[in-house]
Amino acid sequence: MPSRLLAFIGLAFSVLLLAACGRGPAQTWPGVAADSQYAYIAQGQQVHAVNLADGKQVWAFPAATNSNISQIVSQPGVGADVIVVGSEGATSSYSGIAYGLDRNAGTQKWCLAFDKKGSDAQNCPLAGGAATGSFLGIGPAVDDRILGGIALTNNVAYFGLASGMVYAVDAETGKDLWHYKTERDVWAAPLVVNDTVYVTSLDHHVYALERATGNQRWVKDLGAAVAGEAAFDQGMLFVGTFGNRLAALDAATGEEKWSFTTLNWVWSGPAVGKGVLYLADVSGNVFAVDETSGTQIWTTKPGGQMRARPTLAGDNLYVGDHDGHLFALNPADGTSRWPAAHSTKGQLLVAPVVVSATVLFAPYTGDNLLEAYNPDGGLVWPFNPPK
Amino acid sequence: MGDIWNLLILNPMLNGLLFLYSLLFNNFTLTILVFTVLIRLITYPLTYQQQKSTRKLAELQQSDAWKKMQEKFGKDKEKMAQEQMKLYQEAGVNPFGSCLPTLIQFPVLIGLYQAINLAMAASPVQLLDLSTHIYNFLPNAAHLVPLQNNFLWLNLGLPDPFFLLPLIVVVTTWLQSRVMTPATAGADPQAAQMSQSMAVTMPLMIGWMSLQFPSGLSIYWVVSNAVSVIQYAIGSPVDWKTVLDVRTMFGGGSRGQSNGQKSSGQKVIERPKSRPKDKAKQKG
Repeated sequence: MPSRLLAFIGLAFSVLLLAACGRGPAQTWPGVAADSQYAYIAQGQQVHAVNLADGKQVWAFPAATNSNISQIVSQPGVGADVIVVGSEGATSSYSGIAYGLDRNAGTQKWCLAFDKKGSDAQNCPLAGGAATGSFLGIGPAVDDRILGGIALTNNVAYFGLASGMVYAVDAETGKDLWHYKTERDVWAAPLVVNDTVYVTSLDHHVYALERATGNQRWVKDLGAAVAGEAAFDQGMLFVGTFGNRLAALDAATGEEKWSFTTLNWVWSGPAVGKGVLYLADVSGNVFAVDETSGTQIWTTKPGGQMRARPTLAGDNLYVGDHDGHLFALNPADGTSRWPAAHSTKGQLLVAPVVVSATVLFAPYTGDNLLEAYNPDGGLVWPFNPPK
Repeated sequence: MGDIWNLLILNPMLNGLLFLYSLLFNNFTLTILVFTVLIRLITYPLTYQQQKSTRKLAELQQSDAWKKMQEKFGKDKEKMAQEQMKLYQEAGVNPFGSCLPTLIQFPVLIGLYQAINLAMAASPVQLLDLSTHIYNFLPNAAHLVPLQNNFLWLNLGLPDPFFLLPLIVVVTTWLQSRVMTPATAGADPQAAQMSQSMAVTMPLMIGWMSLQFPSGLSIYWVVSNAVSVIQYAIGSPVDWKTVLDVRTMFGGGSRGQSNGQKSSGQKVIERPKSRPKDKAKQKG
């Protein structure tokens, strides 16, 4: 029966192929943050503190990778004595857990779980408003991973979950101070300005919440998903949307003042400098836009697909593309500062972080977890965890 | 190669899926259902061709001429192969005729599966990937993303926490394999045993995978299995009593098509009710 057998073998092969095409462990790009002394890179099962001076590891959390934590991907929130990171519990558990770590030693100070299975597995207390088992102790299908960044201001950590919940947590103790529910995933670090917390959500809305209580001040529907962090300047809030535009809102009321149209989705908010906004769309077009009027000053397309917001530091505007190219542009006209783009292995999907003239890039799926460059484009050090 | 695949298979399917989603009240479960049925209808001529070939082959292999040939040349494999080819030619049967339509359908079904998986993007990397596949001219595309992923107790981007859907996947896959696995009577016992064990292990394997897959993909499996069974039942009458008889699961002879039923003007051939081993015992 060769044909019958072949048909069955073909069927079995297709099943294996489909399995390979299916979704594996939850993934997103690395999270990077820095203070004056250390850079913090969250990727895979660990977060690493790296000495900015020499690129050597100071500590890693958890110390060994054979733990129950499968993913730490959110951009760490950095305080004077504490670092707050978000993780996923067991592989594909979709359980979000926040950890408060000692900034100098990387040891755990507290943890907070956002669903029952994460709480049970890690022995962490359950946050208010967290998902609990509804039927025979089995929890509902909730994705409460912390995929976006964590904003840490005055010892309070603000972050959103993939479930749409937004939390304010005491960074020293892990006590949840308040929570607020949006309709869809929150993938970006909230923006804290004075007494307001601005939250962007894939539910197409931007939320302004009272910083002390989490009470809603205003909410604005932008008509398309908002995945990236907002930017603030001169009483205005700037937000990129999947509706191929950048919206400028009155930060006090949420009223839309102007809109700038791009050629594709704008994933992240803009970088702001001297009355000019710098943004990129996912096709890789970089725009400079007048902050007051929303008119275009210049545009350029230096490389391939771009997700992250550009970073303005000194006389350079740094951008990275999906193909691993690193560019330094002149903020005045968009021309390249370097004779040629630098290439690295991996995708540059995370906004570069600049500390004291050191430019940090975290390639996704590359050879190095973190790379430090000088403003001339010379590689200072690459970082990989010690084996 | 990947670009050609995306251009010809994945992108049209994904954008078709998104377009349908916008028409079907932004209900992704309904979209999966309708889109899977549509794709299955489009590929039905191939499915029918495959069924026809399989049926003709099965009938030939249960004919007296085939059995005589097996008895006569059982020990001379080379001669038997020659005689088999002669019988195939005389009956106008292509032994690989049931494989070709299946092989042609695979890319379409894999593309459909990938499109559903991609559309349910539940993490930033997946959504960024999705952005590269959406046509610029697709109306209102930016407002559709991310897709609404709640259905009953399910989040379509996550596995079913109550394990109900994986169970339905196992049952429908088992049913599909029971209906579609050709009758094993008259077959090479080794091949028959292999196909029988696969008919049991495959549903379990797919069920295990669906424990970890997003439930949207499990819904696709269930719909796809149901449509396959219905299409097969339209092409060839199904003896449901035999199909649902669990006693025949591990080597229980013929099933699927009704014994002795006439189809497509073919000569009626009575299938033996006993297994080859039993027959050998009876002879002994």
